[in-house]
Amino acid sequence: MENTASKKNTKAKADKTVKIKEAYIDYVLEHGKEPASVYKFMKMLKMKEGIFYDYYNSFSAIEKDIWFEFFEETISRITSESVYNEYTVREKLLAFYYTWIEILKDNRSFVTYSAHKIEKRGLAYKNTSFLSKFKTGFLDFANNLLAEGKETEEIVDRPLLGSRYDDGLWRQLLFVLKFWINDDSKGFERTDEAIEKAVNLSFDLMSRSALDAAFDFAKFLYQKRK
Amino acid sequence: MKEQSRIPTSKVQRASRFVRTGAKVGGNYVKYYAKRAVNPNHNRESLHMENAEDIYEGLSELKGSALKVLQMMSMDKNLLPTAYSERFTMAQYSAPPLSYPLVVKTFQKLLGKSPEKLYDTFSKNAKNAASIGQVHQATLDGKKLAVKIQYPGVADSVTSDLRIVKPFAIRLFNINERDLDHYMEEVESKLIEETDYNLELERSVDISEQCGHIENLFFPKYYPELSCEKIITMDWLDGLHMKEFMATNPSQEVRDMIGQALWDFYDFQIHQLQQVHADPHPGNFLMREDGQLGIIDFGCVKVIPEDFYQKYFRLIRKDTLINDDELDRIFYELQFINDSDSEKDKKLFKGIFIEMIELLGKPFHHDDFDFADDSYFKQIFELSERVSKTKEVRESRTARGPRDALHINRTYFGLYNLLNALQAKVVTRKPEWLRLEQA
Repeated sequence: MENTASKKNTKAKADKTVKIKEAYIDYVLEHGKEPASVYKFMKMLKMKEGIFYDYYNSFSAIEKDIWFEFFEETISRITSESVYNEYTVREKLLAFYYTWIEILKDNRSFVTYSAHKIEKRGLAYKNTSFLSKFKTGFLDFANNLLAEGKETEEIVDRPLLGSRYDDGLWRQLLFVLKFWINDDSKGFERTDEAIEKAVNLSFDLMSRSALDAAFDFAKFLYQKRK
Repeated sequence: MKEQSRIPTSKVQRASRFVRTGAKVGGNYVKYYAKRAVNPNHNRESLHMENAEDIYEGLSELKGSALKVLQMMSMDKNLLPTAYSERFTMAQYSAPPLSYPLVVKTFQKLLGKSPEKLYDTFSKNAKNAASIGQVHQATLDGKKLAVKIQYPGVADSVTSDLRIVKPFAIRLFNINERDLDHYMEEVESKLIEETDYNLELERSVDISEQCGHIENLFFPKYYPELSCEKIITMDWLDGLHMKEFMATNPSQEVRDMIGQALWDFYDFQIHQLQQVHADPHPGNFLMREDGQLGIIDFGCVKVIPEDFYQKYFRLIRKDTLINDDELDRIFYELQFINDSDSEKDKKLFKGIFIEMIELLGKPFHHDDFDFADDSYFKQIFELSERVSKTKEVRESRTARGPRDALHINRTYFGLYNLLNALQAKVVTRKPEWLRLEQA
């Protein structure tokens, strides 16, 4: 008895989260900005303001949640493909991007609305706080891939740099996102190309290359000199 | 690199090799633009030097549609010595291969299912590179299949690639812009057609059915239900490409059989179907030791307009060359010479064209012809070498010849070269009307 009650409870809770989230997306797409206040927003939904805070503490928390769901959905879709386990690390990352972009495509208006906040200043991306939850998830995923890659020697661990790889991958993700938002090619084919090229480049940079040989050689010469 | 060979996944190596190729090409672009930046007159000056090998070397590294235009124009204008243009004909797109996740995505998007669900087996790695795509091997119901998948963005890049090459071509070939457009349009329309796999499928089925009766030819079966605008599924053909085939030392008899099949195939297409597989690239033919020739890839098919056909092939009749008035008329009609030419130019170009036609039409003037005869190819080589060094030709700013001739010339040029590589002797079948009036 108690069990069903709690199940009912969770279900009711999930229902309400979905309802709030959908209403929020609807609102921002209709108005191009977030609601003036939680009070007004909840009134529109014919609910008490207090209920809102049972689920979220602000509008930006909803946005973070939505983005995190995109991430979760991506992971669950790629891991459900049986071929995924046979993939190399490079291919796993590619699969992630292709699937992620497909999911974003179904929500393009919202994504565009939400991601236009991102500003690029020099090499840094600013105003990405709405992605914070998504980022945590992605970095986890990326670090797992990196660890796997280091094990198979697909990726070389380098002093100092080796611990910053995940940061690079995050930047790459933001690049792909921005690229897709601005892509006007048919079927977003240009984005597919951008993903292939970006991932190939990053993996080539992370694998053993002329750079390592050059560094090694320079070190050798330096030590000889002493 | 050695350490990597221990990694169980050989694909890693392959992937990095492909990227290295990419980097090389990229580097060449950089080098080329850097040269131009330092010295904007670089191209023109070195072109006017007789041995502008650097430029040709640089050119041969240009990829994609840009290359194709230059390649075809240089063949048509006889600007490049044969040795160079031959190298160009071998050029291909060298895009790095599609990653498997992108292949899966393409399938899901266009055919609604992943390759694993459509076929019994499907190779994760590409077996071959096609000109604008890659080929995977698959099996279905015990049959071995070839599945060709197009690179993304190829169709989009055609137009922009051509735009990049335009200013370059104007300077390199010293040609005026209006005339250049006339080439560009022809090439662009063909290239865009090549990116439409639906059209290719239709033509492949059509031509292979109509040519089915020709002896010693075989074609793959096509599977429309497993094809779409970016994917084509067909039978996997066994056989060897020219180079490997010749390395097996086939007998003269077998080589003649294949050469004959090749000649008959083109003869039938040009004179009966009046549309032709206009890309006689060695990669499109598979040869077998029993003298059978397999034909794949109908990406570039040129439909020959009747009017052009009549005029163009009249030139090949031996008697035409003797009849000066008629010759003049045809030359005018085909725009080999124009009213804007001075009398001196007219005479010069007429001389060159007559010499070229006589030489290139030679196989038609005999009942059989031995393409193993290297001296014949040397003559062609010397002629184009000489023409390309003629000052008036280099400085002529008009494009000569009809645009339709571009693909027909290229087809014959490719066909002759293939037959030479095969060292084959063939019976040069031709339509009755070409034959009779020679006597």
